[in-house]
This record gives sequence, structure tokens and C-alpha cells, in this order.
Amino acid sequence: MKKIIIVEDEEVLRNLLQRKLTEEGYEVEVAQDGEEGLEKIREGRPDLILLDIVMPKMGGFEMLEEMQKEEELSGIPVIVVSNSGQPVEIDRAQQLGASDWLVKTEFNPQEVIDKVIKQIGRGEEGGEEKNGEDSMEGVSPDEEL
Amino acid sequence: MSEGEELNKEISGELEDLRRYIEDFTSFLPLPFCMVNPLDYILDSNQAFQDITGYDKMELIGSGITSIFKNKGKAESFASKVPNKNFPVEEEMILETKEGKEVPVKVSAHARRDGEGNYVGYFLTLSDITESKRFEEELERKIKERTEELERAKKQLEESEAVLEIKIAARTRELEELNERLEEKVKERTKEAENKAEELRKKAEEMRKTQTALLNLAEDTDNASKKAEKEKEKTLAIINKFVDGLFFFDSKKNLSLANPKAEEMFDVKERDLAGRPIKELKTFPTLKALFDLIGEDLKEVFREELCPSEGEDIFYEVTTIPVKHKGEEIGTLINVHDITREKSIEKIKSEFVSVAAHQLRTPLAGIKWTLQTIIEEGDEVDVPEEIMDFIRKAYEANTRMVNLVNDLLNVTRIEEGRYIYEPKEMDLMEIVKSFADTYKEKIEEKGLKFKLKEAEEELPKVKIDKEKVGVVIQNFLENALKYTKEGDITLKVSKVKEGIRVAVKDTGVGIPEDQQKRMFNKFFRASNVQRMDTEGSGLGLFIAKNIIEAHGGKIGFTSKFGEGSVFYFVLPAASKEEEAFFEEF
Repeated sequence: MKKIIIVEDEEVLRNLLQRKLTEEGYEVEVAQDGEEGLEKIREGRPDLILLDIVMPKMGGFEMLEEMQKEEELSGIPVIVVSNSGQPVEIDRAQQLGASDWLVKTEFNPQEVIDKVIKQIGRGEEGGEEKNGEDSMEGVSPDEEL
Repeated sequence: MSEGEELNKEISGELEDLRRYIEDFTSFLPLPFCMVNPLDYILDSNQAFQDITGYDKMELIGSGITSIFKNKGKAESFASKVPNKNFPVEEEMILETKEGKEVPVKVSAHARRDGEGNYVGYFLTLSDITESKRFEEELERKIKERTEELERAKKQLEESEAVLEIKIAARTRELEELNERLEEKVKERTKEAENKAEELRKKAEEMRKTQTALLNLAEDTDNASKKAEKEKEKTLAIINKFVDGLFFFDSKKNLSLANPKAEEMFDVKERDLAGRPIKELKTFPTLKALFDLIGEDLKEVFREELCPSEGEDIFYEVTTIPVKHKGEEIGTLINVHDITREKSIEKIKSEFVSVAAHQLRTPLAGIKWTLQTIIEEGDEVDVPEEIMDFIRKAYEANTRMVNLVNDLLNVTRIEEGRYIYEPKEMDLMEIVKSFADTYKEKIEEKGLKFKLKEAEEELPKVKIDKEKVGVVIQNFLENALKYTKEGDITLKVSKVKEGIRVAVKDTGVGIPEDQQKRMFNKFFRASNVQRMDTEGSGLGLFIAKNIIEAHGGKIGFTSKFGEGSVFYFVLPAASKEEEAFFEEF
């Protein structure tokens, strides 16, 4: 079973995603911030991480930086699900190994699920793996800089 | 500058011109001319006066007027007559020059009085009458010679009378004839002399008239310059107390004035700067930024922002004003206004909106996702259709809220001057087509016709921020769709001289003529569309305009109320020059 970790401090969004992904047949774990996220990843390597950026204790960027330092963790595909979408932020996330960036207000939970499927295949069927280094084609920066 | 100040300035300028004109006029006039104070001391003199007396200006100033005449007593009594007369006093006197030469002159003096009629001295002129004197003497001498000749001849005749009585008779006649002829000649000569004298008198009269006119003129100038001086003082007081920093450069582009506020703003002293050209002023570290902005040729700037010292949060607004007088440029005024406070308020406001909008997005995303999930899963749990309808409406309202917050964020970014991100060279048609596909469906759903007119010729590439230009196209199409009830919407792309033109034409409600000017204003919504729906932030076209202008393009529209509108923009074709333009973003 494919494992996904959701690192998100907003309970509503976290629960919604967890529910949807579980329904899709993934094994889902949740973390409320970067620190907890790192702990969970180290305990058991997930197939994909859904990562928020602005969180208490440790934010998304810091968590990505930490992951870069550990060889085992650096290859895990990461989809950033953020509140903001400034191109400079997207660039930074890409440099830190994130493979996609979604702006919460621009996407529905179902679209997030679709991105996940595209990235690592369906949960139950265990479809073919997609390359985690995929270009950020899904990126839709919002209108800010 | 107020109208009054300008008038004052103009008057004092004119008076200054008049004063200079008189000065030039008197200094080159051959008539010797000087100004004397009530104690008979010379205050000023012209070149002709210095020439005739042989003294230079400095020797004359302060010396008594009587000292230049041979007969001091006569001169004194002449001078004493002047104060009581309101017309020029005249007298013939002998001038004694510095070298001791004696020159006969006619002296005229006219009393000067101030506004209250107080006697303040007089103007004095000299006219050389050597020529006419010499002529008179010559005439007298000649007449005397002739008379002597005649007398001699008469004597000879008398002597030889006895001896040459016969001859005498004949000779007498001859002599008489001769005498007659001589007399005639004398008469002729006398007449000639009289004519000459008359001519001289006329000339003298003319001179006197000129002299009087000159005296009057000089007096007028005197009053005028006093008035001008007063005006000048007033203007200076205003400049010194002015709340903005002021620099004034003369027509040769040298600094002629820096007011106390300017001294304070740039930490300089006027006395260190006066008379210097910009090249030299640039060497003052505190002035460098200012003169880098306006350049050595004092180019025209209007409310240009200036950060006078790097690293400090001080902002000035600079405006240059060419100062003209009677069509002639007399200099340039630089006005420096402190906008530090306005800038900091603007920044705080902008940051507040940015943070607020950002924070708003978190709950909005939560609401959006929740409602979306309910809508998707509503059927499974059998939610009544009525409730689902409410939820769908709530979802739409939330979407509008998201859009509104996005618009607000965009406006904040525009105002902070960082909105366009990494323009890339690309095919505009491709972007247009993707929007055409999306909107064709929406437009036809509403029962309207949609047409896409592609350019016939090949289009050049444009260098753009794809997302931002997309926002503009979307805004045009969205507006056309929203405000058109029947008819058709056309999206047209064409090649124009300036680049590529994209236009959206509709048969919608149109824009009332009196409101067309304000279409691109922030938060503006035309009255007719305000009545149609409550949606719309009034920010779309404002954002669109900023996007297009940031790309060096042009945006505009034509509209007829009740018939429809065409909104268009033109983007310049990509070229190397464009690169420099984008560096500032």
C-alpha cells in the first residue's frame, strides 16, 4: 500500500485530504508541523508528501532543507499545497526538491488527489510509478509576486 | 506660484529692464550727465560727464559740484537756486577740467523729489558751448578787420584828394563801388553768421528738450527701482520661508539661489554653492543623487521620486520648472518636496492589505474545500436539493471572495511596483487560443455567438509574463460575457504597426459616455453595471491597465452606450530594447 504523509497545520484541510486519500486507497499519516513531519518520515519512508509552507514550529521550506541533508529522505516526491503562490517561493521549493506546487484557493481537494495519482499512481492498484523529478507543469502561480 | 507673485515678478522684471535701459541710454549718450545730492556732492556720473571733466568716476563721486567750475561763487549761487525750482535751472559757466583746461558750458539742473515731495538732490547736465563761442568770436574779429580795412582805404583817399582830384572822381566811384561790394559782402557774411547762430540756438533747444525728457525719465526710473527693490524683498522673504526646498539656476545653468529649506534638506550652505554649475555641485555627496536625477542639462522632471541618501528611509519628490519671462528662458527652478511621511503611510497601508489578504486566504481555502466536498458527496448522503442549492450558492460566493482577495493582493503588488515576473518570449496567439476555447463554451451556454478572428499575417513573438497577460484577456472576456445579454462576442488578434493587437468586441450594455474617462480607475464601476449585479471589485481593468503598461503596451476601448464595447490592448513585438525595460521589475 502506498503511503502518503500530509504535513498541514489547518485541521479542516488536513482532515479533508486525509479522508479523500484514504478513500482512494492510500495509507495516510498526518503531521501538524514540519517537526512532526520529519519525525514521521524518519519512522517510515512515505511514497509522497503533501506539504504546507506556513506552519508553526517548523515551516515547509525548513522541512525541505532538512530533508535535503539526509540522503534517504531527499528523493521523496513532495507536492507543496500552500496558501500563497509567489513565483519566488515556487522557485525556492523547486530548488529544494519539491515536484509540484498547488495554491489552496485555486484547487479543489479532488484536483489535489488527481495530482497525487499522476505523481505516484493509484493507491489500491499500485499503478506504475511516475518520476518524482517531474517538471512543475501543474504550477499555477497566483497573481502575486 | 500665485497670480500675485507672478505679477510682482513680472513688474519688477520690467522695472529692472527699464532701469537697465536708462542706464545704458545715459551712459552712452554724448550729453554729460550726473546725479547730485542735496549737499551738492556728486553721487553718480556717466561716461560723457567723465570725458568732459577729465576726472574718472571714483574721483567725481563724493566731490562737490562747485569744484569743477572756474567761478566757484557763481556755481554756488547756481546750485542754491535749484532746490526751489520745479523746472530746469540753466546757466552758462566755465568748466575747469582736471588738466586745468577751461571749457565754456551750459549747465542745466533739475531738482529730484521723492514720493512725498521732499527734495532729494538733482540731476545736472553740461553742454559744451566752446564751438558756438568760438564762432561768435571769429565773427566779431572778421567784422572788425573789414571795418579797419575800410577806414584805411578812406584815409588814403582823403590824403590823395588834393593831388588826384580828377582821378579821384573816377576812383571815388570805383572805391564807392568797392565799398558797396564790401558792405554787401559783410552783410552776406553777417547773415551767414546769423544763420549759423540760429542753427546753433535750435540745436541747443533740442538738446535742452532731450535733457528735460532725460531728467524726467531718470526720475521715473528712480521711483520704479525703489518699488522693485521692495517687491524683491517680499519675494525673497517668501522663498526663505517656503516649506519646500528650492534651487534656482540662471540661464547659464549656474546655481543662483538655494533657500534655507533646501540647505536643511541637503545639508549644504547656499554660500558654498552659489554661482557653480551642476558639474561642480555634483561633487557635494549630499547633492549627487539629486543632480544625477535631473542631469547637467536640467531636464524637465515632474514629481520624480528621489531617495537622497542610500540606506535611509527619506524620500523627496522633485519637480523642475523652467522660468520664462516674455518668452525668454531666464532660468530653472527646482522644487524638492519631502514625501517621507506619505511614503511610510503608503507602505504601511500596502503591507497591511497584503498581510490581511494573505491571512484571509487560509479560512477561504478551508471553506472552499469543505463546500466542494459536500457538493461532490451530496448525492451519496441524500442531502435535500434545496440545501444543496444553498451550498452551491455559498460556494460561488466564496469563489467571488477568493477572487476579490486576489484582486486586492494584485493591486497591492502593483502599488509596491513589483508585479511583473520574468517575462519570456512567446507566441501570444497560443495564449489567446487557450482562453478562446474556455470562453467559447461559456459564451455559447449563455445563448450568445462567439467568434475568434485570427491574424492573417504571421505574428511576431512578444516578450511577456504569460500569467499576467492571461489575466487581461480573461478580464476582457469575462466583462464581455457578463454585460452582454444578446448578440455576439468577437475575439480578434491582428498585427499592427506597434506590435500585436488583441481586441474583444461585444454587443453588450456599453459604457455611459460621461463615465468613460474613469474606466481604468481603481474601484470604479460604471453606473449601469452597478445596477445589473453586485459582483465585481472594480479592480479588473485597473489591474489590466497596469499589466499592459508594464509590458510597454497600450490599453484602451471604444464604447457606445446601449450598443456595445470594444476593449483592446497592443503589446510591442519582442526586441532587444525591451530587455532594459524589464530590468526594473
